[in-house]
Formats: sequence, C-alpha cells, structure tokens
Amino acid sequence: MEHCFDLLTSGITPEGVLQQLINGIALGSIYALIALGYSMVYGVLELINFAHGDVFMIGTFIIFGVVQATHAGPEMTFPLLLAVLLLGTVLAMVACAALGFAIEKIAYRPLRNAPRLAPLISAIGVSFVLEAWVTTYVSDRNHALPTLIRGEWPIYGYVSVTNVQVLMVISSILMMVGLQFLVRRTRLGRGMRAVAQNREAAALMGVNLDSVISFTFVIGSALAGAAGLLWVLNYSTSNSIGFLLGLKAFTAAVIGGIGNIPGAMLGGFFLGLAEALGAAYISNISCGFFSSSYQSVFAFALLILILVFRPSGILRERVSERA
Amino acid sequence: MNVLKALEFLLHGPFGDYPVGGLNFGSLLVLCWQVAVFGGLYLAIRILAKRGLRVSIPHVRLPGLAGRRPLRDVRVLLAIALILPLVEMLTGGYYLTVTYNVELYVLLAIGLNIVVGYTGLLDLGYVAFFAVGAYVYGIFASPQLGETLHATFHFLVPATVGSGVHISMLVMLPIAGLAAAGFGVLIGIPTLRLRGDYLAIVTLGFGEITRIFAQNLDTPVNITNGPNGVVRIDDMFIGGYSFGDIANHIGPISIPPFLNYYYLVLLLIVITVFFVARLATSRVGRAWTAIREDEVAAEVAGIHTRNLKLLAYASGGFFGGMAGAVFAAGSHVIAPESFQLFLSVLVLCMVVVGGMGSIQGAAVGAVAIGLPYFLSSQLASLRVLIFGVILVLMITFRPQGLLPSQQRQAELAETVDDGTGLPHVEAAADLRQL
Repeated sequence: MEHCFDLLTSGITPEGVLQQLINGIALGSIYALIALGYSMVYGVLELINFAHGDVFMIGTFIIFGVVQATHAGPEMTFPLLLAVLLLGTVLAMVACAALGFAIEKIAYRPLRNAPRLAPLISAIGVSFVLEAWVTTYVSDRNHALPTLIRGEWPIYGYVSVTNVQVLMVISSILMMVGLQFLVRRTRLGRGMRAVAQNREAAALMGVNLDSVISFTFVIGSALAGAAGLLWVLNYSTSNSIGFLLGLKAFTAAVIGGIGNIPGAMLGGFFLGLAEALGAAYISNISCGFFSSSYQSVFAFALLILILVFRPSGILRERVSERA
Repeated sequence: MNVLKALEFLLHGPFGDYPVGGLNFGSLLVLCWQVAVFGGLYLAIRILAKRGLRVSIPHVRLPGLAGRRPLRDVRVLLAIALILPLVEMLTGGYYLTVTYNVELYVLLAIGLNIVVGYTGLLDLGYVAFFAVGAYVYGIFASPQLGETLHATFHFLVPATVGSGVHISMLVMLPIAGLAAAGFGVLIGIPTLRLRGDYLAIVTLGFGEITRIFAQNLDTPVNITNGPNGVVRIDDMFIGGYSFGDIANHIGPISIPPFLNYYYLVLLLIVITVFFVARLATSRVGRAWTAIREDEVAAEVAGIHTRNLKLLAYASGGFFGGMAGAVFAAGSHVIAPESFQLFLSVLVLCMVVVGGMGSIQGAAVGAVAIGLPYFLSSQLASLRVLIFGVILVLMITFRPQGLLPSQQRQAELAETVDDGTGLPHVEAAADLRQL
C-alpha cells in the first residue's frame, strides 16, 4: 500500500504533467489531421475508409524519400531546408490525393449501392495492398529523419516546447481552419454538406455526386499527406504505422462526433492528451500493475467507452445506430 | 518454378534486377510498371464491361453428378476431406501441414459465419476467441500454470506441481470452447447497441486489446508468459493415445502427428456443421436471420434480440475457442504474434468470399483463400499484396461471394434499391453478370 502511495506522490510532478500535456497536444494535432479524412468520408459516404491510415503512411515515406534524395540535414541553410520540406510536402499531398482519388474510383465506387459490409471489406483489402506494397518494395524497417528543425522554448522548470511541436500545432490548426472555410463557404463545400445530409436529395438538386465524393477523398488524402510531414519531423515511420495510426485517428473522429470537422480536431487533441498522460502515468495510477506497453489499449478502450456510452461523440453529431 | 518467374515478370517487368527495397528509384520504376500494366488491364476490363461484355463464373459440373453442383454437396466435400491427407502422405509431409492449417481456418470460418453470416454482426475481433481458446488450453496443458502457482503461492503449492496438469482432451476441448464462449458474451454485452461499421471497429478493438494483454500479462503475475508465449504445451491425448506420439501406427502403417490433428479437426468440423446446420433452420436460426435483416422489426416481432445476439457470439466463440485449443496443442507453442488482427481479417474474408450465411460457402472460401495463401509462404509480404488485390477485385466484381446461401441469393434477387440508400442490391445484381 505504501508502495502505491509512493508511486502516486513521487511519480507525478507538475513539470512532468505539463510536459506530457505539451507532447499530447502535439501528437493530437496529427491525429486530428488524419481524423479529418475519416470524418469527411464518413460524413459523405458513411464508410470507414480503412485505407486512409496507409495513405498517410505513404505520405510519410514520400517526404522521407525527398529529404533523403536531396541530402537535406540540419546543417543546411534555413531557406533551403524550408524549400526541401515544402517540395516534399507538396509532392506527398499530390501523391496522396491521387492515391485517394484512385482508391475511391477502384475500390469504393462500384460498391456504392452494395450491402454495407462490401465496401468495408474492400477498404481492408486496399489497406493490405498499400501496406504490403511498401513492405515489399520500399522497406520493412523503421526510418527516422535526423532532427531537421532545432530549437526549443523553455516554459517552466525543465519543461519546454520544441519548434517542431509549435509547427505541428500551428500548421494543423491552420489547415483545419482552411478546411472549415472550404466546407462552409464554397460551392463544393455546400455540395459536400448536401451529400452528407441526404445523398439522393442532393443528387436530385443537381449536385454532382461523383465529383463531390471524389473531391472529398482528394481533400482528406491531401491532408493525410500533409500530416505525413509533421509526423516524420518528430517521429519515426515504418511500413506498419498506417493501420494503427488510422485506427487511432478514427477513434479521434468518433470521440469528437464523426462527420463533424471541429469535432475531429477536438477528438484528436483529446486522444493525444489521453494517450500521452495515460502512457506516462498508468503505472503510477494502477500501482505498477499496468505499464506503458498498454499505450495502444487507451485508444481502443476510449473508443469502446465512447461508442457505448456516448455514440454521438463530444460534439453530438449524427446518429450512430445505423444498420 | 516457371510460374514464379512469370509472376515475377508480371509484377516487376524489366526492372526485376533493380535493387528493390530501401528508399531508391528501383521501387519507383516498379511502381510505374505496375501502374501501367495493371492500371491498363483494369481500365480495359472496365471499358469492356461497359460495352456489354459478360463473364460469368462457370459452374463446375462433373460427369456422374448430373445436375448437381459438387461444391454444394456435403458428401462430396467430406469424401475429399477424408481422402486428401492419405494422398498427401504419399508426397511427403509438407502439404499435410498446409492442409491442416487450411482446415483450422475452415473451422474458424464456419464459426465466424454464425456471427457474421447468420446474425449479421460484423465481427473483426474473431481472433480473440481463437486466442482465448489457445491460451486456456496452453496454460492448463503446460508447466506454465504449475510454475506460476508455485511462484505466487509458494507456501501453498509445492514445486512439484510445476510439471503441469495433464487432462484429457475430452475435458480440455470443451473447457477451451466454453472459456471462449464466455469471452464472447463478455464482448457482446457492451456492444449490444452497436451495429454495422461501429460494431466492426469495437470488436476489432477488443481483438487487439486481447492480444496486448496476452503480451503484457507476465507481470505482476505471470499468466501468459508475455511476448515469449506459452511453451512446452502437451499434445492432445485421449485415454492412453497421445496425438503427438510418432510411434503411433495402425498395423505396419505409422501415423504422423499431423494426421491425428487433421482428423481431429475434421471431426470437429463435422460436429460443428451438424450443429450449425440444425441451428440455422431452427427457431434460433430463423431469429438470427430476422435480426440480420432488420433488428428493430425482429424485436417488435417478439424476438429476444439481446439473448440471441449473445448466443450468436457465444456459439461463434465456442467453435473459435476449440480451434484455438487444437492449434495450441498442434504447435506446442503459442505467442501473442500468432493472434494478430490479420487473422481476424483473413477469416472474415474467407466468409465473405465464400458467401455469407452459407456453411459450404464458408468452407469453400476458407479453402479458396487459405490454400494459395499457405502454399505461397515463400512470397513473404508479396502474398499479402496479392491477397489484398484479390479481395478488392472479388468484392467489387462478385460481392455475394462464391457460394452464397440460396436463401440469401433469393433475397438479393428480389430486393431493388428503393432510393433510401439502404442495403441493396440492384447494383450487386448487375455486377454479378460482369
């Protein structure tokens, strides 16, 4: 008992918690970006696009390849480095967008009126194809970039925010604001909202279903490509990150209320925080019974709890009980 | 090996010698080749399909079975299954292992078919049942339990218990099955309100959680022995007959261990099919079908949906758990890596490719996917790639599966899309012609 008390009191410090909060928000911003892709597609098609996480994974590899091919490193001058990263991001976004477009066309469009199980299976198939392709032809190991962007801001005690983390949070928020503008203020966005509300009625009103759905996939996948940049700046990538990250991002989308863009953002940050804090302190809280190797369990447990107790998410959107 | 060469050329074109792997231009060249070749093929097929080309999958008709479709005939399937390993023994042991693996998947597919095919509960965590069965058997039938008990309660349990508890398979198989069935109910209770995709995701989560727990439950009390897995698991035995004994023989013919397991699984399959086929046409089975078609209507019609859904999970879990126990005994070692999400997906795909809601369909799907999959183990990750491609093509061109249940087929033919976006199936009916 005393041992547990020690764990609780000495293990958890304000500095530690603050640092985990910062890490969690940075990680959450990536979850949020990927979650947007899930959320938009689910909103429009009511389909869980299992392949989305793997599209993201391919984005990370493209940026990695660009950085490696240009021999970029921290010793490069800043403008040059920026140019390389921008080039990588643009390439990754374009490639991911093309991939998303092709996936929708090949794997989902023929199944638009099929029983609901069919597109799900198809999505799983695409996910396996993408992951296995990278495993076979690119790499089956972990790859990490050297620290390209250095520098950090001290906050309190030993707690600090790195420049990369600042970049992650700011750029993801910018992208989400841009997306929100696109969906709320443009003609295409209006089409997306109409299709999300009622596909048939939208089609009758003259919305071009095919192009709206394609566009949704293109936007979501491009965001996943951009998320790829933020990911490789801070974490290592491998052929197998796609599925798990995709699932976590989907969890984020569900937490926020699927089909809801601010919700996806909120859910992403929430999940990032829960994971960072949970992984760091589960051992202290559970008296050493659980360890940080249970990290992935948090996302799943959260997902199950949310779906069971509040299936419409934090920002109450849509009804979840669909046959 | 000419097949492999041809396959390699098809996949890599002239760039096969380019160093592939790592981030280099070889993979880019291969990508361009594949996009050109397969994209072209795909477009050609789509265009031809639009022009009115019709390809239907021919029904195999054997002479002497006039008018019958042999793959639907249980007796034919059973006869093949009985004779196959004897033929294979003549060619050495390798194919026997493959057949045995496929057979385990047949059992899993038939079990999952209860949950997915009959009741319409999309379960992506079936591997959890398999794992529970395997671990229950593994822990009881290996020194693991005794050692853990001794380490935890060393003042009560002497070290001599460490040699393990040896119980006949007549007891252990049902125990493993019941444990998995109980686990099914445990998973089922919180997910009763969920449907469709959400259910799939939650069950997937449970499957992964099970694996992660299996991986980490070596502390504080060593239950699963963590990532190293449970080792030194007993063979199944019944009376004095051990399945793993290489000295077993009938007359002058010796019986290799795998043959024992093969016939054990076959027996389990026969029992399973017997029960499932009875169940499917019973009151319970009809209630399951009603739940699959429209849960609200079923409930209104007086069906106790909660209990019946739990029963579906439990019976699906029971067969999965027994398969897990046999797996554990046959391989003597189980580790968390054996219970990846991929296994759930593989089994689900077998059910879907075979045709949901049909026992023969599940069996044929398991063979159609499992056999090439296990035979091509030397292709490593490439076979997963090919598996994915086949899966996508299969589901987009023939969504009802190879051998759909006749009842379901009839329903599919009747239903016309009424514009509500609800299932089905005008499009599917069109695609079937393709």
